[in-house]
Amino acid sequence: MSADLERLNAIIARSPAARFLNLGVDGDAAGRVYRLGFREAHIGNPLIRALHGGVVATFLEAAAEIELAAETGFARFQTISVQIDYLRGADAEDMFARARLIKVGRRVAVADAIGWQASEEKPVARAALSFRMPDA
Amino acid sequence: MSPRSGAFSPPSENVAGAGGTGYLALMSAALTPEQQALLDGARKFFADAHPLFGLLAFEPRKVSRGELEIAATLSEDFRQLDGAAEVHGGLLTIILDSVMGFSVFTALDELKPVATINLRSDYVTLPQVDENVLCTAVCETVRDEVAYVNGEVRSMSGDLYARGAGTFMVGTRGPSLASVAGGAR
Repeated sequence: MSADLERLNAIIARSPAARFLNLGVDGDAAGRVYRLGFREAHIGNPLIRALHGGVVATFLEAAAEIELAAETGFARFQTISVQIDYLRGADAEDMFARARLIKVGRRVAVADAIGWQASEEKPVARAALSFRMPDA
Repeated sequence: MSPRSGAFSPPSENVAGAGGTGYLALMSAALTPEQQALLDGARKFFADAHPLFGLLAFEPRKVSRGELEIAATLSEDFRQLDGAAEVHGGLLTIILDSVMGFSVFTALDELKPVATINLRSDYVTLPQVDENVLCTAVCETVRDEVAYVNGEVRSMSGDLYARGAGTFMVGTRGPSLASVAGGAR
């Protein structure tokens, strides 16, 4: 594991919320890939065993936070807003995400994240996020 | 889309206001018999079968047509960082999505499956772990099978923690809540 991923997974390990998400980060040729490791507590609809929409949103928010941490060196951010579009139902299985920083300003950062399950070509949800940057 | 079923877990004893079984009377005064049966059935079902809502100890406080107020307790499981007092903001989105989605059911003449199309959450202040909060949701209107909903999460003393605005598709495919309650299908 690279030093970058090791540091990010160390940040994740310090967060109970990330442990609830069973969050992890790995990498491939295109960049960092975040993983929501499925747990029963992630279910929103037991009848059709779909992931809870809020859990999906929290996962994409966390992915963007970690991406921001990776690029800025800060470990903690105040989220201002999360706007999420649900594109298809999320099954009771692992989910993956990539996050992209659109702009990192002195006071505010803007990012987006996209999540998928079976295929990256069939996204489950996308999110647009803004964060308040910590005082330097 | 994010399909939902909504949930009501049993009322806890440690929240002021309409605790105990009082909320059932509130519901009975506001809902049709079919909606009441549905909510009672959903409450019983999810009390046993829904680990996420069990963590949050959802307690309905007020229900009327298109409006819903739920008390929740912010679980230790959502603490932002070890040693930090605050929860992760995502928990506010989980609560908003749940309560706003369920408010749609209270606005419908005929109960149908509902799925979130989109949701925007603004976080104002992060509440603390183990804090009790109130989430209110108002389904403003349902037009062309799309429900338009606003929601808020506040402290018990009224401080704003988060606000939400979302749209929900009504009549999606999949099991309806009626099958949960054992009522009309």
